[in-house]
Amino acid sequence: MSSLIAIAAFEFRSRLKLISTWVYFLIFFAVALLWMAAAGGLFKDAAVSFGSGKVAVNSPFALMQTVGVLGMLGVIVMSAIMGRAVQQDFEHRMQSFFFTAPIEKMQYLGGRFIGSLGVVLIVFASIGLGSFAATALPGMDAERLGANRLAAYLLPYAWVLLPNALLIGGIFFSLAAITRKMLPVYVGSVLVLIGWLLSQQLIRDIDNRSLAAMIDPFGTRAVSVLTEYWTIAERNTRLVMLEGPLLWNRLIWLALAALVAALCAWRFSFAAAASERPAKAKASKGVDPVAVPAPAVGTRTSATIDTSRPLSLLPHLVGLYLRETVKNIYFGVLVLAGLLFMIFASTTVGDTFGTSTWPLTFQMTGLLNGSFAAFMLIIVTFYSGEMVWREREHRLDQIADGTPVPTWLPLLAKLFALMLIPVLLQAVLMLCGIGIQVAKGYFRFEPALYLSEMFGIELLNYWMICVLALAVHSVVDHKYIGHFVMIVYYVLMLFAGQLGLEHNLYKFGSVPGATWSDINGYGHFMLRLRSFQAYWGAASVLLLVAAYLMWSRGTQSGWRERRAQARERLSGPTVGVALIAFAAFAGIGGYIFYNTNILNIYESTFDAQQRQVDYEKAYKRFAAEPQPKIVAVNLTVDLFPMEQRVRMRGAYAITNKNSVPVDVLHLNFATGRALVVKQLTLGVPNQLAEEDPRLGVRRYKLSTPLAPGQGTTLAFDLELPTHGFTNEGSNTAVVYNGSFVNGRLLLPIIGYSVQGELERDQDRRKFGLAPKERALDRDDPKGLMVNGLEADADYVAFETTLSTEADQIAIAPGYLQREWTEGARRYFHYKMDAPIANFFAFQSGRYAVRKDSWKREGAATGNDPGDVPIEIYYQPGHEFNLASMIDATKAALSYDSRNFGPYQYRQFRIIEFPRYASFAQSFPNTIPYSEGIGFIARVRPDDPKDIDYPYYVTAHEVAHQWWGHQVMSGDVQGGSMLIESLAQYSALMVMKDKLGPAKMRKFLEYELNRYLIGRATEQKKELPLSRVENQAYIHYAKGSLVMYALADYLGEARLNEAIRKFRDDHAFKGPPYPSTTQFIARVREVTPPEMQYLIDDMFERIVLYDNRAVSASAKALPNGRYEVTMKLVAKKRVADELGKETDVAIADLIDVGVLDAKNEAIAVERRKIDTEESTVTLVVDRKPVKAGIDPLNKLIDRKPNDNTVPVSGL
Amino acid sequence: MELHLTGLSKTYPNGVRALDDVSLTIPTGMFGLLGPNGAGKSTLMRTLATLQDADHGSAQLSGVPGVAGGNINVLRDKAAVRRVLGYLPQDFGVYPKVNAEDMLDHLARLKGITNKDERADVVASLLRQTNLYDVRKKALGGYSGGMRQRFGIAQALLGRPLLIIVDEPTAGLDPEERTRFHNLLVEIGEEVIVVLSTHIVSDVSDLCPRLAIMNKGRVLVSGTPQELVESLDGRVWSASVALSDVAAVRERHAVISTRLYTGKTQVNVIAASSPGPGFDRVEPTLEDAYFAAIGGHLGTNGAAAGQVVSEGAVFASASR
Repeated sequence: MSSLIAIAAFEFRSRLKLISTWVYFLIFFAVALLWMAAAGGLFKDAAVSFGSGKVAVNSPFALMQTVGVLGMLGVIVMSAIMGRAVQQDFEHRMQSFFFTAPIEKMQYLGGRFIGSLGVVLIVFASIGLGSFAATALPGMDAERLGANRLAAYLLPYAWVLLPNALLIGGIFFSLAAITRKMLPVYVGSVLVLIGWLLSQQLIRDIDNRSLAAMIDPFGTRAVSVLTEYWTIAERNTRLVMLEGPLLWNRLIWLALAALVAALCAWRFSFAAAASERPAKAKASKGVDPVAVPAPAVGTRTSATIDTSRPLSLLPHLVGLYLRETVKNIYFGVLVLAGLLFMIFASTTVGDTFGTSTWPLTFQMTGLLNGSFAAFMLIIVTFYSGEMVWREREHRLDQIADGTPVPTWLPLLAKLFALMLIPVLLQAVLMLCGIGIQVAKGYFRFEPALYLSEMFGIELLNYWMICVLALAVHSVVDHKYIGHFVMIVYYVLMLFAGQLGLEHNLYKFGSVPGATWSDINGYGHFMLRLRSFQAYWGAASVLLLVAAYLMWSRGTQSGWRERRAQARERLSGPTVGVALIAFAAFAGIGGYIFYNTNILNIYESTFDAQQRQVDYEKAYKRFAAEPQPKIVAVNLTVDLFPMEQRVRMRGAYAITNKNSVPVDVLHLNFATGRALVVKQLTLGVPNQLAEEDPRLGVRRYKLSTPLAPGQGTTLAFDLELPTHGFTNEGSNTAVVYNGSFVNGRLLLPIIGYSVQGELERDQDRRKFGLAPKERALDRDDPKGLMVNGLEADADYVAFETTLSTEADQIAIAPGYLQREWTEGARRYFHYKMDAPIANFFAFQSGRYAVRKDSWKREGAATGNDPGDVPIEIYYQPGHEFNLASMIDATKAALSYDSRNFGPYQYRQFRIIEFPRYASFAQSFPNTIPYSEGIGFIARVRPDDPKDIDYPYYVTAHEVAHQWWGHQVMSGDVQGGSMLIESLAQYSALMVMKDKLGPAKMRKFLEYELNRYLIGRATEQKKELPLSRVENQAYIHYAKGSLVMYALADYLGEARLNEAIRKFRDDHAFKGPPYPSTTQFIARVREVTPPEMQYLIDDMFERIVLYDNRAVSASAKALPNGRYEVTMKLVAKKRVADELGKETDVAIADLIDVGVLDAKNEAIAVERRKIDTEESTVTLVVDRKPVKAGIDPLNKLIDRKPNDNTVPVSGL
Repeated sequence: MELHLTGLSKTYPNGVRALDDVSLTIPTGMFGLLGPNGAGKSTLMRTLATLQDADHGSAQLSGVPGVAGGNINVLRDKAAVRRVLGYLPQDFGVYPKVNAEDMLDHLARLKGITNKDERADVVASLLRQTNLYDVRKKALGGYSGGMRQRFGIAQALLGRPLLIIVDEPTAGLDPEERTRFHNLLVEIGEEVIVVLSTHIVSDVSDLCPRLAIMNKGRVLVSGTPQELVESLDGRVWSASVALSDVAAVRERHAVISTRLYTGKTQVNVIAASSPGPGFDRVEPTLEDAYFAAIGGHLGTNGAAAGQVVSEGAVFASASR
């Protein structure tokens, strides 16, 4: 025992004396400090947003996340410290001293393990200390800090870091001890990283949640899963305890580690380790000692020495280094890990509602780029270290360094060998990707796209990392610190943006990506991508020069000598290369800067926020100023796709709808300085009183005020050009193929725009602005006079002439009046025959068109002959779901018109647009629909899990023709419920018919998940549904849950009757616009008295249930039926706006039921439950499998899975 | 061909003065660099092998065939040195899984033997010469210390080096291996410069017509073994004393070495005349010269560094 302590103490002390230990410590300390300080608002020009602004950065939840995630970086430290604990003895050939000492194997291993574990914990302690120190910094945003609690700092260690050090460190320790090599440790660390990456990918399917929580060795995913539904109040106060998925994760991984450790203890042997392969040493026997023939010619063999062409050696050396790297089991393991990642990850490719997309090539490559880059980075980092240190570790450096090869030769050879590693991996992964496509029955191979994605783009980025890694290892000249520096680089790159470093010009290797779209290809992205690659390529050459100058050759020690050697190497050619590279770097950098900052306006997030602040400060005082409204829009829109330019000419007819005169016209332009205003003419005498291009504001003083009811025109000629490229984002509105331009991108917005203000409280505090409310009260009379969609109009007459290139089709809301070609341009004249919302967009592309029609039910109205043509404009190749979308359109048009009121248009069109954005949007009879959300979905009808979400999305957008285009809401709380929740409801009802109840439950499970996660990450406050402030998780997700349950409770027909009345009250009316008050009143009318409480709970309060089944037993009755008795617990809670919950008495109608093996209902009865605990008995016809309370999950319940339990007793 | 070292100095960052104004002239043939551990031999060797820079001083290789002007500035023109260099470091490793033939072939490429057939010949011939031919396909990891050392010399001989530097080559070799190794060195050491460092006097006396003795970074003496031995002629006295008396003898006399012989301690002292009763005059040996030099009793007078250059007989001091 004392030997064990002595060994542990020696290991511990000697590691503490190493400078590297303290380098790790300091870097972790600094990163934690920086992270916390940034999250806590210390850096005014940083725009950090870590989760909800309402969760204190030092809350138990936040610390668990921060310490846990930063601790993941510790994998490098663990490999360096714990992996080396035993391996160092072999590397330094010290093993014989220890193995011949009178100590037991277990004392040696245990001592080394404990000692190194202690050091790792000391290093990790810096994370907590750094986090704590940050909270004491002056200048932190006091609102972002809570009270410091010791337990909040300690628990992340107890549940995450200490177990990680034990299990991951233990695995590394064992691997290195058994193999006496570090490479297995590196491979091990890549594998644990893969586990984490995979968990990140898998969690997209909520059914994988438990699996994802288990396969992340770091436990951070388990923490996320455990806490994902925690409300803000809980996140701020509740300590994360070892329970649920976290407990299981820790147990499983510790068990695995124990297994590895046992293997280590068993396999590790002093005897075998003490000498290296004694058997082979006998080879020297039998060689006759005196038989030295000494042929003098031996050394004089007339070999030609030619050292003048060292480059000819390069292929040989590259091959040698590459073989050394690749020709072993470890590389095979890495490749296998990559393949497994691909295969598992591809099961959830593009998952939406647990339904994946077809494995299109860009989807497959998308899996690999992005998060998988971390995998490649680690591999490159490790192998670069191995390459750089190869000769020195084998103590061959003196021999190799003394050979007459130029110093740059091994450097280049190692670089090229290193660069070939990602080539190999990418090739393997590409083949694997194609294999997966075949396995999934997708045979449209696009080798060219694969090559350009994986080699043409991503590989070049990896190569820069190769150069960087080699340079870092060359300059740092300490293997493990070199590795660590690379990890720090990677982390800084991940968070640079949030720390305020946004320009790609000063983030090495930062290359803005090129999003492939089947519609637009790489579009305009390539110039920028290639420019940045060239720029960083030049920087890589400079790094390479630095690597060369600092490259270790000979036994130089200390910086002084290395500097002297570097000076010596700074010869003509080197300087020449450096100068050329620098010239290229500076030149390309200048070119990029010219593009990003001179041709375009460069604005950091902070600058953009500042602009919003300036806007508010300068113009908020005019918010109540009376302004005219737009009553008609007549436009000539010219799209120039190849130039990415759009011009809009035309006029608004505007009318003063106020009861007071308008004497100033206030105009806003969304694109500010980028917009070219060629002409802007008001139909009445006026004078430009104020102009601020930066804030996009123009104010015209009217010489004669516009009297109430008086109208005039606002004529304009506006153009939005594209010049060069930008640092971030880009013009994805007008693109080569598949343009999608919202009118408001160019057109003036009348009146002060509240949307232009800075919204988040934490951002506002940073600029000294008071917090603001997001919306007016739902019954605010002024708010109800304003259209919730577009504040500067009610209904407008709309007409447009749209032109585009000759081979493209251009589409806008309205009916096509005429189409013609003039010169090289194609013209379309669209006109609406009735006023529409002031909400329109223009699209243009080379589309294929799928046509169908819907037979209008019932009496045709007015000018409508009855048949409504349906058209889908799509990218050829994206035919997968067209039929489903057309079915959905027909079903939705039928359902909605039957139940709510007639469809107001004579056509219906869906137009696909590139996946630069992933949404569909409902304009009058026109639905732009992203290629990313449905066109490529892979819906297998027989699969129990697949949800036909193209069907759902289409039905939702169809429903908006009623909710949004027939009924509009006021600009008040709850407004978006009337638009979105009703569209969700309509879509759900249409879906229900098509998909059946089982899949509806699946769908609603996703909605519940979305709601619960949404409220947990709320930035300001959660509101009841009827007061939703444009919060997506409420108006979509909770809206779905509530409306679906309501239809179940009230009956679909009865609810539809209320909705129809509401629609009839308000369709095509306003101002004033309706609020949820009117809607709820209509619903209450059809609600029986005993269910009125439901309306309060669903719309007016935030209510959650904690229902569960305790037990269920059954007995077979003589008549062949079964009597099921279940013990149930029902709890109801009311939450406040931050999720603080209060128990309330229950007296609710809740389902109790019995399910079969497929989770389908055998019997469900609605019972009045008015005690927390109750016992219920049901008699059923079929054999019961599960039974419980609210078995079909109609109510909002944070733990829906415990509502039923298996039935016992049969 | 000659190697001239002038005023070489080197101080390590930790303050150790490894080379202190070293000046030497080394002619063709075997040259022994003798000194205790830590004398600065390896630093000097590494400096000559271009692996390390000196702080001051110069090193010049002159009369090099095939080089324009025949001169190479060893400290500056490292590339040129490496083209004529064969180096066997004191401590080196191998890739355990690579066999001797492949490894030599690889190093031969690095040395500039580009022709494949020639390279194969050279490698085969060196493997024969070092008696490794039979085990050429065996992984280097399985080699014994002696085999590994022979492999080291084989790689040092690749490409017909003109300047061969072997640092403590016999450390860890058994006598048999050592003899074989010496034979090899002698064979190649006739036309080229071979600098051999060792702390074993007999290595030098067996092999080297010329030598220098170093300690604490300084060259104490250099010359032929005879010169060094002769400079002690008549001045070395030996006595057999009890172990307990050794300390007293050390106090009174300039003791250059003590050694145990049949249980008694034989003490060699240096003195112009008989140091006293019990002391017999003995024939000086190179070992006496070595210890005398280390002890500061010899050097910087008669056999000053590099003054006398003579083509000494090959095994001049082998008579010992």
